[in-house]
Amino acid sequence: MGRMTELPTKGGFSFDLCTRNDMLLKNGLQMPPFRKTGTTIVGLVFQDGVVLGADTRATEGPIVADKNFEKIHFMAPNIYCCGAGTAADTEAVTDMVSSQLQLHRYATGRESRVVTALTLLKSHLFSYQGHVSAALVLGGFDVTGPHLHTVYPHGSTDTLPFATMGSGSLAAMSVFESKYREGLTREEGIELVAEAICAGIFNDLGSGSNVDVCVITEGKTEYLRNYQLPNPRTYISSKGYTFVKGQTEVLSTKITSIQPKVEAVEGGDAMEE
Amino acid sequence: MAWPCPASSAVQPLSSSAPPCPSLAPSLSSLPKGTRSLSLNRRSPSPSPLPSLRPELTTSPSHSPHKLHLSPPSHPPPSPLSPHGKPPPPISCSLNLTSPFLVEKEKQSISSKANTEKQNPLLSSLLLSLLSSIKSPTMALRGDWMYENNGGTCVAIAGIDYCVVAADTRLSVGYNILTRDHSKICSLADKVVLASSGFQGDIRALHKNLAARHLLYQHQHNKQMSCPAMGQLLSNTLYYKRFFPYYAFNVLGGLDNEGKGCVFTYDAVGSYERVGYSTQGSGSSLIMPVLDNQLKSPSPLLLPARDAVTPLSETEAVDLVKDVFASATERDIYTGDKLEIVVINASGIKREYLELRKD
Repeated sequence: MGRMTELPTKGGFSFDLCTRNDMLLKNGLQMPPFRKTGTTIVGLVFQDGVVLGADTRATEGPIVADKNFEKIHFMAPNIYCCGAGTAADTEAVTDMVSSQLQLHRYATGRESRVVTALTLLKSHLFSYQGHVSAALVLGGFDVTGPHLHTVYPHGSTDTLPFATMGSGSLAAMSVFESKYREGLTREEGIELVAEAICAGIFNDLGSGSNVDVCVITEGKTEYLRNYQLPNPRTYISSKGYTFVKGQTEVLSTKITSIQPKVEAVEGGDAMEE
Repeated sequence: MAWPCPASSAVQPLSSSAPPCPSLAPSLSSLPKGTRSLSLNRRSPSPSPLPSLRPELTTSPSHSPHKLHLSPPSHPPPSPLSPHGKPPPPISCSLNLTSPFLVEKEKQSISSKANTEKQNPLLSSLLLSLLSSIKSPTMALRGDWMYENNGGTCVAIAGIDYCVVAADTRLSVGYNILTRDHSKICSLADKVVLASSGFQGDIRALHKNLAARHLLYQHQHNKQMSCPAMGQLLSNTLYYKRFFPYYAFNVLGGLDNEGKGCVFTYDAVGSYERVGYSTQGSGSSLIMPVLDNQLKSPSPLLLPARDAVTPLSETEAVDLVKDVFASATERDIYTGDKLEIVVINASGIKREYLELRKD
């Protein structure tokens, strides 16, 4: 007689194939590259709230997979989160915490607080021990005021007046360290964020294309998608291209005719609505 | 001039880490997979890893640079400073030492050759230590990885009475840009221009070497080297360093002795071919299909060999090159900043620049 009881289903990742994967790597298997966002993401606190910024390039190794990718994710009407690292991980974790925040808003009847989002994110990332490769800049404005945090893939967090993450973080941080001061106005804040993102775009190969900005103040959030487009295509052939039939060599042709006669049967089961 | 051979200097420390193997005798049976190979005797069992030695698989230009096992295929080698602490995808290493395709007969012939060629074990162990370093994912930080890929793309197109050679001017390492204004093009003779991408250290050395050889030729023969002659010289120079290659992907362009456009394309160890157009470098896999579509040349497999120069005019060819580079810049992070276009025709060498995206 076999076992009658079933093991309870385990959540999260199964590490059963790790030994096999290591063996494959040793034998020369090439792992498919994850799509990473390369990325420059920044945030800063100004006098009335928080400004977040991000570039828009998603890379797959040395190739640009998406030239206009959205890296500023919605968490709550008053909280937004920029994500760097593996694109799937940042999307999944921000969507998940965003849903949890909404349920929490329904349960409490109050506006979400940034620290709530922070705690949910850090406990999720910590429990996955860094395997969920998401580095985030979380910013928002709640009843306690403006907040800006960074969250690392292993689950640690920092609370900062200005922050940068991603492969272009050093380029962006150099701009912030030179020009940031407390009590910036809204225009100054946006301009500084755009400048920091541009530093990442032009000096880091993992970041590029356009600048996205998000301004969160008391009661109002403005998502300025493609705030700047500093990289237009430099040349386009005026001649255009013609693709003449026959340029691609046809090696063989096989034509299979499908059923010429279709029989319709009356009075079958009704389709489900 | 005597070149210091790496095998003659202290190689023993490296060889201690190499697994035992049959000697890499320069026999057909142990050619590395992917280097363009031609069987000399069609009746003998195929030595290469390909199941049957079909010429169209081994001599097609589009395969060659990507499959040379010593140089990484289409994507650049891992950069030393990878942004997230995770190295980029490891290079597939496929040296065919224990290939299932090697028949019993060849295994015996390899082992018999191992006894006769004593100096090869040193070279082979050096090669293997190179390869073992290629296999490990953290190789970029190991002391014995001797190359670095500085990125970039080169293109050359041959016309009826002109030749266009173009390369971007970005030099990068990992995710950083070293300079936006570095020329990858070297004018070797008044009718010959060489564009190379890859490791700049090796490229500088290679260009210097060729320029010196050209000067010697001029003194000895009282004339400039022709493009086919330079083509052969480059191939020999690259193959001379067969066991410690120049990490350079070259495209040679110029006018041949009749004044017609002439383009030669190379892999890292000197296998070359005269073609109507070619591209090498990080953006080559993005550009080559477009050139294949627009400049369709007759198949190189048809005999007698037919000339593959494009019927396009010089301005049309330059327009195509500009557009194709602008497109490659959109999708390849290592290509960009500025494009240097060199046109060689009967009246000499002319240079032009085009701004590209700087992100």
